Amino acid sequence: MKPQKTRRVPREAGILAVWVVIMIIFSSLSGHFFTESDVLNLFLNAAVIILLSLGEAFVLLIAEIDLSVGSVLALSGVGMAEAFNHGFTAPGAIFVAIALGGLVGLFNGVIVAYTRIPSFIVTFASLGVASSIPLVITQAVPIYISAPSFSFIGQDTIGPVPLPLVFVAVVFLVLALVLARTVFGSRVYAVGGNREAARLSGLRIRRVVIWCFLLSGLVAGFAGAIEAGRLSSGYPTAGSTTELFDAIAGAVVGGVSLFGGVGTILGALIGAVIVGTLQQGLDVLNVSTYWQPLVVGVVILVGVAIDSVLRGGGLAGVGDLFRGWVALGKGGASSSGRGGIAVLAPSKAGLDGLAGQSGPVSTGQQPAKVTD
Amino acid sequence: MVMSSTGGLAPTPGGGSASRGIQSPLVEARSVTKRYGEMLALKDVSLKVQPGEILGLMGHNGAGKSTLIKILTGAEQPTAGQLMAGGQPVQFRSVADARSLGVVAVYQELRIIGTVSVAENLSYPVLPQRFGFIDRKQLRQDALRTLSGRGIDIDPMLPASQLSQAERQLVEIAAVLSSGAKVVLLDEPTSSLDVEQIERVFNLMHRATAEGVSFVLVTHKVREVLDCADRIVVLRDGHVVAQGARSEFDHERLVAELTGSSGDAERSRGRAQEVVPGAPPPQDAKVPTGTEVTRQHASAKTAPVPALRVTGLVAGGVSHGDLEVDFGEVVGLYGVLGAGRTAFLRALHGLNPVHGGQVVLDGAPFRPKDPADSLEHGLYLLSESRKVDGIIPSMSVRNNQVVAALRSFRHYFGLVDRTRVTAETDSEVERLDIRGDPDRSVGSLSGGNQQKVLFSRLHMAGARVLLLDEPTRGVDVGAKRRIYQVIRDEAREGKAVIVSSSEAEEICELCSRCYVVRKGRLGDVVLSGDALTPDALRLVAVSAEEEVALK
Repeated sequence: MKPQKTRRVPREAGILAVWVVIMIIFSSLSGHFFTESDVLNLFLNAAVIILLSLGEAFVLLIAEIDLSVGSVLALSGVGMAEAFNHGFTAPGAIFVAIALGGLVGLFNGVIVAYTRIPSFIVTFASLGVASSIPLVITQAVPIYISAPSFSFIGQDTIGPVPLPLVFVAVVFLVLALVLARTVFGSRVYAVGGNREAARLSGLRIRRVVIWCFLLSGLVAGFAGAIEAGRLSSGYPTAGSTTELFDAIAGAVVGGVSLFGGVGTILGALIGAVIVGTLQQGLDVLNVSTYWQPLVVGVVILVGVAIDSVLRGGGLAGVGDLFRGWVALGKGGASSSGRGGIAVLAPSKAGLDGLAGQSGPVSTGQQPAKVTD
Repeated sequence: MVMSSTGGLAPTPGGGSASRGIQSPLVEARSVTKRYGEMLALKDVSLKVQPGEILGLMGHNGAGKSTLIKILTGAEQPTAGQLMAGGQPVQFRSVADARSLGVVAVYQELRIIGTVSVAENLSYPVLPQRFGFIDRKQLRQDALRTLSGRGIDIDPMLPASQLSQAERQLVEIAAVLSSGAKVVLLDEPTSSLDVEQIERVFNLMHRATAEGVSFVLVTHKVREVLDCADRIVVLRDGHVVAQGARSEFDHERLVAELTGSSGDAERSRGRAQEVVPGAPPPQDAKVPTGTEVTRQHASAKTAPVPALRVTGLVAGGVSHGDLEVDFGEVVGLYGVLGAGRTAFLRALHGLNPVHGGQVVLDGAPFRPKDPADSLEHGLYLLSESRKVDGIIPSMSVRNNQVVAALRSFRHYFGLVDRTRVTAETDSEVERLDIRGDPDRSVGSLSGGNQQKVLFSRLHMAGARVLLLDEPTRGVDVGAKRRIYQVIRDEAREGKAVIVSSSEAEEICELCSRCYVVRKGRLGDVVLSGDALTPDALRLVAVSAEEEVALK
């Protein structure tokens, strides 16, 4: 997948390099990390987060956020198990899972598009609803299903490749194509890049918004089905820990901007793989689970920081901050940083010096606010 | 318009860094060169600012004006060359360094904080205090002194958000002056102001020059520099191509220096347009492809049914709007800022609600609903604010061009036909002379080229009635000419065009008729033919303004 042809180095190359470095570090720390079965295993364990990241990318690209994707895992998983128990075939039950995810996405999209409620609030509300319903239905008891036809989606393999990875690959290819090559994809970038400009250009913003949330929900529903298959059960607390944040972090690490308009599906994929790799690697190294979120957090922060520096001036803010401190330390003219009007607290010496050298330069009306 | 007061200083005419005036210049750049990677932004530029003068610094977008401002104010360091202040060599390592010597830039994006009062804005970063609390009385007095001392009549306790754009500009300049600035560099200070307001800013500047403060007026508006500056420096491609006293320049010479087109034909053409405003546009030798055929078509199209007829339109900011435009015609909307031009166009485009009146589009009644619907009916609005709702900075030039026409590039499965996109955007790039890599972000282009991209978007959208709000705002002279030509081409192709502008010259150059918009009313005064002159427009628009002032 090469989304940009004429540009210098695609951004994804840098992110991929980060992943390679992480892989090298882990395999040098642990001899048996980098074996074939482990790599497949790594992807398999990351499959759900990858899917969530890919769907979330569409929502982030239009400068919105979808907090409900984690809870959809539980809703669609339990829904799938219930459907199976009520006589649905396995494909039918999977369809139910996807439809439930789509329903949540559609709800999010319609509310966000037609009201002024921020997506953070709307999807936070649907997170609550979608995580409660499975708990209520099951009374927090997982619905265990032993039938192999139920769990094939999570446990079968094609040759050496686990079926979930095949699905991940298919979803990735479809979504990447949709975003990079279709009219809809172009509209997503336009809406995310400058919503008002897109509106003036005659784009139907609401449609784009609804579709993005719908896609995110559908993909999350599918991820829920895979999760249920892997666990052979509808798990009412699935996705209730760090899945949501892993998904968002994955997309962002992969270069999808939280401010919209920038990012690719390939980037989101690599980003999610990085997040997954970190968790796996720490497990392999027997790092205590208490420490893992800390390490993941630090690595994500550092990774994104390096990325923005490499892309030029990303950390300019840090430089400003530093310069501000230095200026304050000198006790002189503190340029009032951002926001404040650019008034110079006149350093007397400088002014006098100038006046002295250039002859009769009137200092004008100096208001009484010079405090020194 | 009031002319300069130079404080009795004889500006040193022309010349390199060797020639010295009687007084040493406040700030001086000697053979400054600035390189960004492989790009040479400034080459051996020398310039001095004398006490109490207004120096007009002109140049196209990309000529190096911004770089020069940044270097003079310490935001960037020169690759080679020397800065001098008060006759002494200096080095500005930061903006704070330059400020401490009284050299300050005021940029287009003002730094007024809307949520606090004018007085606080003036006083930042140090607020007067008593017992650790802000001394409100002192704050107010200081602010009053600062403002009234400079002839600015603004209540200092007003939240700054209630100020007009011009008032913000005045407050910002006053703040910089009262902080002891000796050299103020103004970056396009008038780009969003109308004639009246520009005068207020100029008055403030002239007042301050009497106290020995100098200004560097960075702009690409030829007229303003000629009206206001004592000396003029013209930059082109990073070089100083001309400098000298104001008296050495006239409109013609300045335009020629700016564009680098010293050809006689070009010059006399520009003149003809100036002298005979409203005359039919001269036929250009180089007509872009495809317009040949449509020219007769255009005259045939000037049929009894007007393209757009608006009667008694009522909307937010518009109390009564009558307007008619035919296919193949360019009509103008002229008025001061806030007169209701933009409100009228936005209402027509379905961005603001319409409360009453009738719109007939191409013979059929039309009710503005939303922009998507308007575009489907063949109505397109080019907004006045390129950065806010014009360009999509994260997308490439190509994608910005096609975004309004995506539907027509759809082929199987909703995929975009990229070969056709490339072909058609390439031909648009050529037609509009867009300079820059079409595969790179549109943000990398200069303002003029960005505006051309928006014209290309408009063209590709295929609309037949074009509403152009300030089509050349913030655009350099070269791009402006090209855009005028493009607007005429659209009309020749049979489009109906409405141009809204606060520049009377622009209206007279482009339009056959002009509606003067006053206090939300449109259609009371229509100038056409010989009556359509810049002076007449200004007179009619301003007489209304005076009525407002009397109230």
